[in-house]
Amino acid sequence: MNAIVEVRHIGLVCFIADPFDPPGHERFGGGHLFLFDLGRFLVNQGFRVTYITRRNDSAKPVFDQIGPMCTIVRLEIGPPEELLPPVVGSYLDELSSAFEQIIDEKRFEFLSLHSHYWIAGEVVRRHCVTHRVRHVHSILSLGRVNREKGEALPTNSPAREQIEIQVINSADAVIAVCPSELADLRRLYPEVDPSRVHIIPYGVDPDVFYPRPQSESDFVRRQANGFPQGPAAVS
Amino acid sequence: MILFAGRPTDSRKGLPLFLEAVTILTTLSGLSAFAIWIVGGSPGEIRHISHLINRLSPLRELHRQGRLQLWGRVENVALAELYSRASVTVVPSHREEFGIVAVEAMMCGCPVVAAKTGGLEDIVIEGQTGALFEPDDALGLAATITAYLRNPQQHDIHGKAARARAMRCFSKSETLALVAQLYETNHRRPDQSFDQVTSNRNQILSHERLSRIKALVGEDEISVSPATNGRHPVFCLKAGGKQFIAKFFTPRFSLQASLFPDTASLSVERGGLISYYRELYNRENPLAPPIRFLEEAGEPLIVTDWMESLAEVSDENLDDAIRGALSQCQSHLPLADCAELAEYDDTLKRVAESPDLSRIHQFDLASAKLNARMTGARLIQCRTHPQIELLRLQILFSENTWPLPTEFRTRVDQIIGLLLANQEIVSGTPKLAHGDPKPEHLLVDSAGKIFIADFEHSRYTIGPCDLALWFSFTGVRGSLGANASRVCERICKLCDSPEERYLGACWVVSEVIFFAVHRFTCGDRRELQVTQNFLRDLPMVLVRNEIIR
Repeated sequence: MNAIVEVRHIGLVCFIADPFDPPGHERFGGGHLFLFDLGRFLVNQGFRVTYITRRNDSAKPVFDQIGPMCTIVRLEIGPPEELLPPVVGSYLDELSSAFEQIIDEKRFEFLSLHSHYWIAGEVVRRHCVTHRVRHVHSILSLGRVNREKGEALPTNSPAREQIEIQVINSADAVIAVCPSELADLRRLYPEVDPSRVHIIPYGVDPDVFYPRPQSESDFVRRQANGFPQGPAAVS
Repeated sequence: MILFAGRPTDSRKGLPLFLEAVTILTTLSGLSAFAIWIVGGSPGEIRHISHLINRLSPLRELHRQGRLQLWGRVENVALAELYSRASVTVVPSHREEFGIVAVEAMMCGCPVVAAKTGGLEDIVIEGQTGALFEPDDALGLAATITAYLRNPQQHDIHGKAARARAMRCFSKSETLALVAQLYETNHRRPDQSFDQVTSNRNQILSHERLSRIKALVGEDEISVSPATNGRHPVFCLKAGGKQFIAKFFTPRFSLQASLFPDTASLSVERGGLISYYRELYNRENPLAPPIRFLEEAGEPLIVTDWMESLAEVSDENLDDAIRGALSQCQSHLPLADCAELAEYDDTLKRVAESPDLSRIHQFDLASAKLNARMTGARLIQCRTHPQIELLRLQILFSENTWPLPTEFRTRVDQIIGLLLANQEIVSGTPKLAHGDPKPEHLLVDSAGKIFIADFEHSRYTIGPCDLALWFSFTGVRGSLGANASRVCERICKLCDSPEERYLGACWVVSEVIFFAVHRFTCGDRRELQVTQNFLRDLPMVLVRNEIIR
């Protein structure tokens, strides 16, 4: 069998949320939406995209082809249900093995692997030790910030912080979503080299979010009058 | 309309804090009727929040009146409709890594009041695109919301700036393109702020502004660099071997309109032409830097001679120099008998007979007419009389106009009561004041003569208004250790008569209280503490220095 060789094949790796879960799902948020939008954007730009995540629902397929340029692989690690991030973190070694296995099996050759959150960051870091793949890492949250905020810490927290340091120091590029996140990193992680950290915020689609003109047949009026289908229904 | 969007049961999102702030808002006077929209959450979450709301009577009442609505989860298209119709979007998160709701609202032209945490601090520019308050501070949140409810123009101006910032820094296709670049190269220089992505400097020094400066100065070979970070864009120019300062007057809104209820019939407009006309009115003022070029059309522009800033003089010497300069200003363009002055005197007497907000409003109108000669005939609120300002504050505090901490209110009640007790309202003809004699406005020419830049707050006032403002800027504002004794010593040294000293003290007190309340409605609690500390020792010091008896 010939290897699947893609010149510009990007792997988007995240184990704490499935980017294809619908909005309103348990852990749906800004970062979640970003992953979904990022993949769509990359496909539009001519990249081939493979999402690699953890299977959090037994009804979901392990492998799904979404159009010609996008696939999603769900690693069957841990129970097929939504798990809190620290619990997902306890499966780190298993996720890493399954990740290596699927890449071998599918013969993926990535231009770049983009990890999200420390668990995916470590899985990708381990992979990049032996493979010449560019590693981009998105921080999403930092263990020592949680500790500073007084949040209840899981038992694997010290290991998490060491892993975060390794991941940030070894990645080719690191993304913080705002200056405050970079400032927290500089302040609380003196062990890391912040020189490869780029601040790239989450974006919003200006074609969806733009100021609406006030009008006689506006949305609120339609809702209030029970005509949700739009201005045509308003007499 | 006050909008909250987010998972209502997510403890980090701060909905309980928001509901506490709404409860506080229901207790305040002088607020126009407002409505609350809570957007987000599953049907189960909505049921949970409904139970919570029904347990608290002010919220239950708002709900019953249809002024508190739970929308549940809505599609993005509908969400944009809601943001577009809100006066302000509130993001009261206890913790927030980024704050996508704030960006969405800004993109729709809605200003954002957000907790000072995580990415929200970077997204919202305080005083320009919204306000920031200390996390978990319900009073601070309520105070910042009041400013938007009292002054719709604050929504318009902040909303416009919010939309511009969101488009510049958070447009999705551009941020995703930045991510995609990282997959192939590290050549992009890491950014330290959102604004580095597209340089903020380019926004300030637009092609249009540069062209106008060149055309006005009549030089093509000109170097232009931003000079200050104030509200108006100011540039240093070098042309034809000379240096100039160019200032564009952008429109903004009145701070008073965001603080005081019932400012109707007075314009809430500030900046723009009003500032421009005030500068022109003072064109011959011996304190004003010489104007070389000016242009009224569009965004008004004035070019003055460049001068060194006066920064290296000790406080003590500076006080004397400032007094000398400000007295020149006071004697410039004195008011002659006129109908406006007669109306001013008449309304002042009426307030003195029986002070209430209605009479104070009539006095505000008369003051506005008196000052209309320098505002292009626009009637704007001009604080002209320190005792009237204290009376106004006393009444507004007694009517619970702002959600202020009890300790602060107690101090204010005490000092105003003391200053006004057994004192007649001082009459007399108002004199010209600079209105904003900050240290950074002080300039000096090559001969050592002092000038004061920025006459855009200029107005006719009673008593040593400018000196008192100078003492507030240099002795109280921003300093938790502000020393009441030292400020009173300066008043006694620089004000000649007992009446001047008394009026000077009234101006200082009214100014520091006004500023503290204003900062609080911008989410900044620190100035409340500064003022509270200053007022603590002031009564004793005023008596000891015989400023009051």
